[in-house]
Amino acid sequence: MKAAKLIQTRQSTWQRLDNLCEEFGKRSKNKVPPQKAREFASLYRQACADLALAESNQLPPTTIDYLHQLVARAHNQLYRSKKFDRNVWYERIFVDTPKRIFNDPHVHIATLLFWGLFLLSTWLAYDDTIWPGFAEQVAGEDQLAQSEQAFNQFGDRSATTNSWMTGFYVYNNAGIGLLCFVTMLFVPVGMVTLSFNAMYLGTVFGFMFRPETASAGLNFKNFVTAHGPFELTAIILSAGAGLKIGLGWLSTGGLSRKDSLVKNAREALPIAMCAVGLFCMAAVIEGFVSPTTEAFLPWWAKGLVATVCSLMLMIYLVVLGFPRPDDELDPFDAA
Amino acid sequence: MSLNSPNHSSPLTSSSESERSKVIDTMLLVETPEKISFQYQLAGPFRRVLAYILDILFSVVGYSILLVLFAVVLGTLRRIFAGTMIGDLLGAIMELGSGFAAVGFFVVYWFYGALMESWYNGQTLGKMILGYRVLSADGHAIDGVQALLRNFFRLLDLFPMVPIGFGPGIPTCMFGLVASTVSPKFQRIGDLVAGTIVVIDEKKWVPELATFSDPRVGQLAEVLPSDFVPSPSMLKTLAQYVDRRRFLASTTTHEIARQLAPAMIRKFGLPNDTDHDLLLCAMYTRAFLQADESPKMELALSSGVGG
Repeated sequence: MKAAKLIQTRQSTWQRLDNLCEEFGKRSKNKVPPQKAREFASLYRQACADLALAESNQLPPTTIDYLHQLVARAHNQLYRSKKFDRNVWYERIFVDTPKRIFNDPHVHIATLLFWGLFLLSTWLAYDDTIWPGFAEQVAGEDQLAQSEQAFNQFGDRSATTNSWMTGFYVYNNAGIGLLCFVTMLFVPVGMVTLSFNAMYLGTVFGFMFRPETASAGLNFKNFVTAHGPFELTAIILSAGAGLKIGLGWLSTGGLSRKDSLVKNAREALPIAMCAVGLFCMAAVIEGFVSPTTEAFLPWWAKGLVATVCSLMLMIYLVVLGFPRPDDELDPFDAA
Repeated sequence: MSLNSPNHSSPLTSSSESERSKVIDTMLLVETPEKISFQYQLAGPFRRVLAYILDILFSVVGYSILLVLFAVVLGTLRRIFAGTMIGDLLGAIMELGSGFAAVGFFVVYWFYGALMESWYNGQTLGKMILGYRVLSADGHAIDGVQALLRNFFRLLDLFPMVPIGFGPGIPTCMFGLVASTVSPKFQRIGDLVAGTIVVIDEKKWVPELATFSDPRVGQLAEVLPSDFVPSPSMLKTLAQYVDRRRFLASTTTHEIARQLAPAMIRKFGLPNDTDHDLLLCAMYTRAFLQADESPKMELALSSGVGG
């Protein structure tokens, strides 16, 4: 039997497998009719056998190339991408992720760095005698004057503006969070981003609470209270998740550099996604609750919102996250 | 004999990737758990930029155009129904709609690639059109975590940005280009973080064997000795020569054929003025096209069908 005869007899089988690949490739669902799946599996095995014997059957190189490509295509349809399984979502979100965040040293480092720099800058910007001109050096005089003016003219907004601003906050803030997450791959760059954000925010806070900017400060306090807990936590979480990846390929813990990078990235992703979720919730509060005036919603009501948010965070991160003696060592290894 | 022989691999080093998939040129050889090995062709950075541009057109640009169209249609309807309840309702939708539009933009910008790749088995629209597919580095399908990671980290691949005064600037893609040039599997930074590769997954037609209109080829093939069994490397040479001679000028084909033909003429004891090109074509005919009743080949085929 020569190549010509062999190709002639097998061609219809290959063609059929090719057509099935095409057909399956158009579906997003992983389900196919059982008969077709059976037929596909048997055709795939035949093509594999043909490929294995291609050399000894003296097929020409172009035909062998074709078989390689056919088997690869069929392999891709046989082993399809796994989707997020709805059944494990609950466990992922409410069991695994809080534990991971609570126990992650990278999140602890990011928390300490962020709050340390934030409080330090607030103090230095508020009390101008220790480091005269600190606020102007960090944020710039124009920037400070601008924000003071903006909060002086702070007034009621329409529902349209609120809706638009909510969308904008989601896009902008979650975007900044993700930027912080990915730039942490190069740790020094990410650290500069995080530190700058912490110092800038702290400076604006300190500047606004100075006695001479009291009227703007009142509005400022009114604006930032409600959404603060979610947003600041979200920044810290995205930076912590990024730091895990960034340090993952520097300190490998015995794995190859590539494997360690991939492993740490898989573990860090839930933390980053948690941050995205927090950014979105913060944006809704920032869009609809925060901009209301004192007359409409007094400051204590916003303080109540902030307290409830903080309590929810506490329950999620500490109560759900606190390690229990019967915990498996690494819930994500099974994934 | 030393116990610490250099071949003894340390249990700490993960050998799965290096043993199960090897890169030769731009082909990635994958061995599946079923012990089948086959090749993927890896997609290089410049092919993939094209797919990315298509994806931008389909995602961000497409979404913006849809939004504008939607707003225009809604605005027109609102003017038509002005004063009625439908008009008021449309007005309310338009006023609240801007927020949803911005959230939608966020979703499209950050999650389009990840959602497409996890739903459509490693393909976005751009990759479907150009026939590429994202796979795990070991040749298996990707999961949602990998899809999200490689799309988040695309931002780094686009760096550094050239500032244009507004917006994030124009991406130069230098990080991605350098990373995919340096890494052996053409992985950009996002691919390295997620542990993925991009392969070419296009449909090819079953290659036809060459046929010859010149009757002298068949006649010459009959004259060749019956015990002529070409070696695998000879088969490869003949097949490649015949596949390509159609595209070459006759002077070039003769120049190539001269490398092999004189030796074969001497071996077969053919007349010295035999045409070199003709001889190689005859050998091809003999090797691939003419039936011969060798029982060994029959055996190989029957086991092939059984599989």
